[in-house]
Amino acid sequence: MGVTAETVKELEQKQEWWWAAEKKRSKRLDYLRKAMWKKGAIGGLYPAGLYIDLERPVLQTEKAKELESSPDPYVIKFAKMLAHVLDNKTIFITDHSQLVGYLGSHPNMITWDPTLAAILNHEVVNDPTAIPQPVEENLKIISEVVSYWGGKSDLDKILPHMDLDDSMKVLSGAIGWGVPLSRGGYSGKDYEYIMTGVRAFEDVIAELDRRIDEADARAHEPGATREICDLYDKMNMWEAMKITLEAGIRHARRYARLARIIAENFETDTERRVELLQIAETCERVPAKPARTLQESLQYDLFIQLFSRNEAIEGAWPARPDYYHGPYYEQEVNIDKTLTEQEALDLTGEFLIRAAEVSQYKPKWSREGLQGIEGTWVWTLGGVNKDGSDACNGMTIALLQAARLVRVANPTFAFRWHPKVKDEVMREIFECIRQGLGYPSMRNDPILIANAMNWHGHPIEEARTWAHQACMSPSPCTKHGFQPMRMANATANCAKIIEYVFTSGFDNIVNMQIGAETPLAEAFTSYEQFFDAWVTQMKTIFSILVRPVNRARMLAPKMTPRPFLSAISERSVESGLDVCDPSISRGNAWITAFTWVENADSLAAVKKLVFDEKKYTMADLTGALAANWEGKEEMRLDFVKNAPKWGNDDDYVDSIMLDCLHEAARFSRELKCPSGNNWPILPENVSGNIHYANIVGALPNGRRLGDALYDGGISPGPGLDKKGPTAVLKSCSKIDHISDGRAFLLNQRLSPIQLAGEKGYQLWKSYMKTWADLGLDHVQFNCVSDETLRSAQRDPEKYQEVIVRVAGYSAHFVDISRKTQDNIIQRTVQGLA
Amino acid sequence: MPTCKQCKKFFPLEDNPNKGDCVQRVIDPRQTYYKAKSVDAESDAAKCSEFEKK
Amino acid sequence: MARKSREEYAKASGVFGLQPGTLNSHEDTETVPERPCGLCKHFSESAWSSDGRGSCKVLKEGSDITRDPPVFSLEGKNGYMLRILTDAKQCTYYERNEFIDKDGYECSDPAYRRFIRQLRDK
Repeated sequence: MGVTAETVKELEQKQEWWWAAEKKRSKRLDYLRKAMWKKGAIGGLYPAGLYIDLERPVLQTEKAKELESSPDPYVIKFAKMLAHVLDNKTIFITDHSQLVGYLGSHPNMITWDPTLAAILNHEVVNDPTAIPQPVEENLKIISEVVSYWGGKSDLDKILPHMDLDDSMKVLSGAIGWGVPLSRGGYSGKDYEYIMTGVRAFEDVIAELDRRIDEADARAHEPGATREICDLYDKMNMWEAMKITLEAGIRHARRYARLARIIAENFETDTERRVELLQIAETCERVPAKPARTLQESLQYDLFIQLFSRNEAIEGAWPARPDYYHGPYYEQEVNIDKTLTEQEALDLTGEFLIRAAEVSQYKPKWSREGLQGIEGTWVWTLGGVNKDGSDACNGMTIALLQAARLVRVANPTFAFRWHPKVKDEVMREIFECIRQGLGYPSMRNDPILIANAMNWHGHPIEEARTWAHQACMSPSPCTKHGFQPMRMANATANCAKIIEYVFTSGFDNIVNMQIGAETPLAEAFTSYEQFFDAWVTQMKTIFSILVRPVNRARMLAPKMTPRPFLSAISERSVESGLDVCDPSISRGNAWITAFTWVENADSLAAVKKLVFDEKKYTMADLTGALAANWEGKEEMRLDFVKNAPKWGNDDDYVDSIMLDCLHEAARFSRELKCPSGNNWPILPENVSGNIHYANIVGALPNGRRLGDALYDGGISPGPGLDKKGPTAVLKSCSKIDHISDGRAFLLNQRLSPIQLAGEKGYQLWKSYMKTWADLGLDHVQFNCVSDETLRSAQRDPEKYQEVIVRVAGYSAHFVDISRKTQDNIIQRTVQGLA
Repeated sequence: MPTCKQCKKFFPLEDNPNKGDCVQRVIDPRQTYYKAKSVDAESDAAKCSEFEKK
Repeated sequence: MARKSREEYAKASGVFGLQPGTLNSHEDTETVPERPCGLCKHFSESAWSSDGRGSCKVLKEGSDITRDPPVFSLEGKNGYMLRILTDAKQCTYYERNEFIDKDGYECSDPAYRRFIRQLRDK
């Protein structure tokens, strides 16, 4: 860095938090942070220096070929393939590290799982930047792998069993993204079973052995029943679970062995040798046995996350790290004093870095929709214990402090605020926000606990264990409450709802009839008719997206099983059923509603300018939209400027927003998951507003094809919230955050100058009190000045470490596309009163 | 023909000397690390650029 | 509306799982014809991924430009699904797009962006 002469204080006064962090962190953390290879794509491509790892696909393919003639049931073959990868993949230990484990063979490699979908495999073939050298030679390897898995991958196997019409529409990419696969999405975890320190892999293996023996004995008693028939499948499933757990233990011990080899043969530094032996001891202990120390606990957690990604492609990282690691922190730092706060901070910071490095090759929609990051690692902090008491602990503070030191964009935190949170913790949160991390986002715990009980019927003790399953959605971490896989294709590009009202459901971008064939828009003679068509399109789109997920959940146990995830889930260990089996899940589904607010603003514009004021006819408007407003600029500006916009405490448009939400909420209770539970909507966006910019046509809010969509959730359109932050909060507070949907994202930009000093804290705290009093469930802040962001656009090399809040996640500003950068700058900076 | 077990970087498994780890030091543009790859002791190392005779 | 047959879906979707045994060899994925659909101004790439699927904005479902003689259907609603490397040598509607955005570091416009490796230097 070119600022060595400046002190930390001077740098902080200049709000150059990233340089201050560099000076404040330990040498170890500084090395590890700079050693990290960021994995997020920029726009649709991976940045220079990252390559697709071919080791894993080759290992998987060779094992699959070897097992072709094996008499094993599929689930056991699959478990053996996972074990083969863990037993044979290249492992490494980075200098100065204390935690180990990575999916790929080298730190700059992105792992590719060819067993998921031929569509994904062909993206690899077509990738213009990430095929490793020598390209020609590696293309042949890729081709062999792709050729083998064609027709055998999960999606290839599942699709013929799905509604083919729905599948075509989903895979067009117009109305949603993701795939209906149990091995592709966001895996929830039964942390109450596997992370409480009560048991670890060896304990589960003992339990599995007992259940297999009992079942085997039962199966050979005199008699023949359906129950006995079912036992054969269960024994296979238990056996597969056991294979994955044993492989996990062996894999950890490979790290232990490597650490000892380095310590005994290569390392000359005495201190490092001790650290390496500590790594060895840790990896010999976990995940086989329960952790005893903070290092073991973090390492155990990391292994679980990596093994889960060995089994599935994961777009999220549901976690509650302060809750589950907190007891170890408390014991070592505050009671036994075997670990200093600084040592704990080093471990915590490294844990964040290890998570930030994780990477899997993902399709284009994911790379564009989650620009700058690998997935939404939104870790949940704070909240309450099962008895309702404050759950914050020393680890909560350590994580918040470590985040400011290592400044990774992913994971980010979401904080479960409740009235009992201490001021000391609030100040730590505020420091993260003031220092521009964009996180933690703030979640209203009492509201969201009530919401979980309302929508999914989770009992209060279970609802209180919730963690974010992806960016925003709460899911309990309990036996029946957790959702094993949130399939991402229940993600609706909701701007298409209003677009399809004008095209009778035909999509002009992908040239396909996708929506309902509602009457021609120019024929509508009343707003009510128009709104009815909107409701029909909403129901049609949501149904197209939800049906494949429901179907895939039902097919998953037999066709795309998850033996490892099942092995760390009490309900599967107990029942012998795959974790995705709907019969053992309460259900916690939701539809992510991207690009939602465009609907309210568009409906309001049509109501006012067409039906109330009769300034234009529906034919005028339909024609203007079909022409992408070309030749109609005056009319377009009328729709932008003279129609009310959401976020200004204007009942005209706010009541329309409520109408839309109420219709969606009503339909959410008609849509049912295979467990019989509801499908509430959850408005938020990630960077889908940019990804979809060229996929959504012109809209009545004045938007043209290609313009960025709003930044999401219930956030007003950038620059359209003209009446200040309180008006935004008031508009948002008209929504019932318990019963109108599962959660509602709100982005706010604040001025870093205004947040300076104690006064800044008090202003923010006062804002948060209003937010809580009004009953909103979420808010997150960008707190980086326009000046800094524009400087970063001009001179990205100097601003590599500036972080911004994109939507449900943060990213380094230089790692997102120019259009996304501009969209963030355009957001209104709210002055706090 | 040189084999992996003749190499300095080969570390046999305690319970199965026919298998082992090939341990190498790697320096990439960002970090330095040791890596280990599972190999067979009798694997042909003739074309291995990392081979170093014990 | 009568339910489509599996074969019709396979043809209409361009989805690999519905077309076993095709499009998976090295030759299939590396052969770039003189006139690939991906370089035509009427081609729109899948909005979902860069796996090679896409659709034609002019030709409708039921067309087949790989047959001899080719079948051009201009009636109906849904676009003709094809692939970015489909050989359009027989297509009389082919118009080479001269303004193709190859910057994959921005988000895609399915109508204009073609940043797959095989077309990088085309």
